[in-house]
Amino acid sequence: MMRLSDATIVAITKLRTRRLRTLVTVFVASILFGAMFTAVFMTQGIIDSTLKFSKGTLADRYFATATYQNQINMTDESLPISVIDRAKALFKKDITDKQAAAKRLGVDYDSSIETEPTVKLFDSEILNGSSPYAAQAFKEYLADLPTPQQELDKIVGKYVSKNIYEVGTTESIMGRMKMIGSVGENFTEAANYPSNGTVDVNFGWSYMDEGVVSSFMLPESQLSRQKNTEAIPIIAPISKVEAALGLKKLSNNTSANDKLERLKYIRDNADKATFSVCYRNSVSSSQIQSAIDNAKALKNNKNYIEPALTYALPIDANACAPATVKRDIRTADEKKQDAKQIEFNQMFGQETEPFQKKLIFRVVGLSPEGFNAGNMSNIGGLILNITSTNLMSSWIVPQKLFDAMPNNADLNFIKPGYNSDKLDYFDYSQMYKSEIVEFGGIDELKNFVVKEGCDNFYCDGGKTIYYFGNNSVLIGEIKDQAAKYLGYAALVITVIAVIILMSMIGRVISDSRRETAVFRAIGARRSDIRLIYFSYTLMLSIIVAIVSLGIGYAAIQWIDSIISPDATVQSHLINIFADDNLKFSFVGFWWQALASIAVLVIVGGFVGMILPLSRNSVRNPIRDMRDDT
Amino acid sequence: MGEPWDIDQEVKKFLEIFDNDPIEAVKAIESFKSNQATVQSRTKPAPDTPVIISLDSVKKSYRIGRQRINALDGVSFEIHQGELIAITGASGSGKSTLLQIIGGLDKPDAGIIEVDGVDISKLSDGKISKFRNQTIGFVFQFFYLQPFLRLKTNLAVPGMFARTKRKQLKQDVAGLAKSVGLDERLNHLPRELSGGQMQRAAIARALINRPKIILADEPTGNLDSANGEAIIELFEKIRSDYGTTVVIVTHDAKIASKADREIHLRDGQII
Repeated sequence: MMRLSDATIVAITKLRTRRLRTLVTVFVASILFGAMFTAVFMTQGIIDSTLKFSKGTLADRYFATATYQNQINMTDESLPISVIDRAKALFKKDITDKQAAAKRLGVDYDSSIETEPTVKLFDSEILNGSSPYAAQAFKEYLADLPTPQQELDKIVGKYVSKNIYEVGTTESIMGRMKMIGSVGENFTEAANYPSNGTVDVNFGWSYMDEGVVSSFMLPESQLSRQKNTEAIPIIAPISKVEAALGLKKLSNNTSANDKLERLKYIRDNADKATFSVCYRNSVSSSQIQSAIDNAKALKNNKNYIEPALTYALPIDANACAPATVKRDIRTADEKKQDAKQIEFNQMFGQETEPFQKKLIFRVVGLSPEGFNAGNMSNIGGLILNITSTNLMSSWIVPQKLFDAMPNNADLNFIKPGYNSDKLDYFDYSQMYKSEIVEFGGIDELKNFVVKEGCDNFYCDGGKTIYYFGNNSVLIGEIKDQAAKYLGYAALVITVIAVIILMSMIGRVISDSRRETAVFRAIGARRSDIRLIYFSYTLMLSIIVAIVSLGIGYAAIQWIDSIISPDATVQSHLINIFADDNLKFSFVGFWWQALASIAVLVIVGGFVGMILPLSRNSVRNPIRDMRDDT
Repeated sequence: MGEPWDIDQEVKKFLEIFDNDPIEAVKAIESFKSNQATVQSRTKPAPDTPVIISLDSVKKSYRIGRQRINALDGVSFEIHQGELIAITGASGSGKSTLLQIIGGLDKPDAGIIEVDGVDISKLSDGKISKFRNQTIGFVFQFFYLQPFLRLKTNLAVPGMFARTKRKQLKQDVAGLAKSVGLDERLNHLPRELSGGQMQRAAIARALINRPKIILADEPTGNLDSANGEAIIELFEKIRSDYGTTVVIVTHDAKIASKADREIHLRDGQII
């Protein structure tokens, strides 16, 4: 057989025949494979940039959330009858006691105001979820069962973890909180949960250890500038801090550079931002409400008879002050009666004195906005989804900083679980316990989540185990998923390319029939002819591979130039303390995938060559020479 | 091998027979044909060299649509080493078929063909390819040079198939180019050469592996008379310099007259 180098010399001439067709074929095939190269560049670019941005953040560590929730519900039909009986007994005793106390104190008491402990459900009787007697009976029942903490310890204790962090919430805080804005407390408007956007701090916050949230905290140099150590330290959503600093929201048309400048400004000045909230217990709130109702009635109802004791709103709306007594024209007997009523209420655990406190929060860290599914259509949502550095809570109080406050003892009423015993309803936060578990490496983390988690988010048996704030696992999965889908795409594209190349190579072979016949006449073996076309196909495939790589690279550079600025801004918003100079680039080099595509191009070429060449091998050279003369 | 014949005498013989008995005259013609004698006009006596090409009762037919065409109908002859032979005949007489069979491009349906002592009809594809590469040198009417290869590479192609050492091949190309007067055109493309130059290049290509036989199919068919004569002179030079046997298919009587012998075909038979 002739030398490969000689075959190549002859094969090169075939690239010069039918130039236009060759160019079109190379171009079309290169577009197809170029798209694949673009996808590979982009996948690796996203992964590289995500890792770059998330260095030193939660994503660099290996967390999982572990939650255990009691499966039994207070209103389950399956509760033992003894619990129902107990609730009824408590109800009966309480009424008896209250009737006796009312009689002794000489106050009015109407037992019909008490919430029945049970309700009828078809043929069964279940506990009434609104009844404090049912709540008490249910709590007693739960006390005999393993607590959620004990169940969680059993699950987590099987694995070697690096740290376990508790997560506290403000779910069981009694009373209500309202923001004190620039014009003070809005007494009349109800504090409604917003339908979109990030909630304000008055709707609650979480408590987390600094071990978890350190990457969201301001640097020490900024924290040391804060003088008011009696203000509650809080990690706040960046948009809220922006507003607290008196900055107007930037429009969507703002350039990426300006957005980054704004972010930098917020970050550098966040320690100056504060939020104020007025906490009022039920008595304080009802006095405020009474003042509002009284004023309204006086205004609208000519026939309204003002009660002997009425309240007025505090003069200073910024002070979180109690309602003032507007008028008290009660007689001595009325005052005495009211005092007895208060005594009666106190006997049975009700709040009787107003309590209000102005809570000032100082910003010690910044959190990205909460995950909004509606963002999935834009780059920010996609990156957020990938990075998964979402803390799942917009407002977070770092536990150690909170515990170190000099006035910490004055803030018991906002500590997790503090009020649960006093609640006159069942506190469901008692039914579950959450922890953040940190592992030493990705394998330990994956092992934990795979073994203890399940396909659905909520598992049978009450546990919920999932990755927390971590993208290293996700990155690995993204890459695996990308490889799978790129593989399918590669298959389809290769089939199309094979058809295109087969047509091209077939035409070249067909056009070269006379030349082949002449070569055969001057002594070429069939293997020599095959080697010439093998060289031709190899060169053509290599050209396609190079051109498609060039097209893919040019395309990704173009795409990058368009969407990288927005992606960079979004990434900085998500990874607030990332280096200012970091840029989110969509250009990455996944060498194995790139090489695989290049090989696929060449393999595709050879596959396309097989049929035309095999048909050509059996041709009669004489007829070919005769046909062309 | 038949005796040389004089056409005037033969015509005279026929007319004499026809005068006496027309039917007998027709029979005489048929007999003359069926003898399949190699009737040649010999201008030179057969050399004392060995027989290099020998055909014995070679037949070849083709099917064109429903018709079966007898391209060769029992052809027998011998060619000695170093002879310059012209194969002539009208279009469709079978001369190109004969050349292709001698060159191993086609196989006879019947008969024996031996070239350089080998029955080439029994060779495998690999061996016949080697035979065409080493023993035969083809020259075509339309030159069939590679349009995108420079002359030096065009000349070297048969040597590439033979895996001749590069250095040797380079020397051979230079030498042959010089001998055909194309040494200053080695870096030219075929389109930069005249018709005569291209045919000389094709001849040089045919000689690159020092074949014993050159088979030329209408080598002057695409050239003017001056170039045509130059080509024939070249063939004569090759024959005398290298001792190569040259077999030329031509319909040109002038060229045929320069050959040592002429094999004339009609309807697949030698006349």
